[in-house]
Amino acid sequence: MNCKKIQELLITDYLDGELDQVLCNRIQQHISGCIHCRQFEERIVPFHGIRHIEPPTRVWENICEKITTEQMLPQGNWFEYLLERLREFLLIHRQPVFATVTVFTIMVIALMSIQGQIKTDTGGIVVEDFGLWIDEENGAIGTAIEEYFL
Amino acid sequence: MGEISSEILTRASNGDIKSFEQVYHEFSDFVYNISIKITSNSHDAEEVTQDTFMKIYRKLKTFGFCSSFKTWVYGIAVNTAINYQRSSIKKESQQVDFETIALTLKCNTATAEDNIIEQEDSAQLDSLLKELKPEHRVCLILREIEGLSYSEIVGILFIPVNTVRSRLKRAREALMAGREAINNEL
Repeated sequence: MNCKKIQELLITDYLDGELDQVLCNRIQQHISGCIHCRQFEERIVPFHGIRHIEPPTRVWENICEKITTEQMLPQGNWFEYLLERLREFLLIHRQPVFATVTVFTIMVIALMSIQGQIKTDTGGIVVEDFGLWIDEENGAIGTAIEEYFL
Repeated sequence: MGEISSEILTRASNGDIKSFEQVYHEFSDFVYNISIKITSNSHDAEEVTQDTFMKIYRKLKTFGFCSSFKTWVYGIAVNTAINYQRSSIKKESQQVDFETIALTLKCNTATAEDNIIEQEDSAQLDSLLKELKPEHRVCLILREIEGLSYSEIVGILFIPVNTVRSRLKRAREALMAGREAINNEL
């Protein structure tokens, strides 16, 4: 074996204990008579200061939480699962949900009535937005209810 | 490590969380530490550890007991960490991770002098490891830090033994050159 092959083995199999005893002896014989390979071997310094760090406890807590969530999930139809969760949610929180929907509806109606305000024009009534219309030819408003309010 | 009975694995694969906790405690140390070495960041290592164990949990039913469970877990951990590292490299350049440094400094050693030397070695090793290609780094970590044999590394990375050999050679040559460059500067 030449020096190149010896140095390849020194930095790999020899260092890692992957060689049989016969080959180890041959390498050691070569090193004892070869200054270059001996110097090369001296340059190979094993690692120090490599310590294992324990993972923080929150890692397992997060994994546990994910597994628990997954176990609650159905294996089959996602749509049915979502409907079921929604139904459960509505049953548990029906009062706050009803209150929220009511408030939201009132707000939408109020907003619409502000935007749909009535503007008076010369001699007639002009109604803007929200589907209200004026029969310009007759000067009448669309429905009797609208006429009453306007 | 790796002394998990097939009974525990079967129970864990059926969703028994206590059994899976045993699997976690058996392998979390390896998974977390190899993740830190590959990602160079404790926060990313936590993410990788969580992802790895979720993959293990989901795939447990497919583990056929034909191969070593340890090798199977190691393979998932290494691949998850490498993929995470590749995607995070694309996202952002590496930042100084103070938490990792703090954790390293917290580790107890026999004497103050030893502590300083080991911290210096550890910090130097970390900085040198970052310079290696990920595939070279992984081989070196599995061999030097985890103490795995060439055949075990072959089983984890699914590469020929000569590739393991050549990656170790290149990684060590690069580390030797890096160390010498640092020592010459001092």
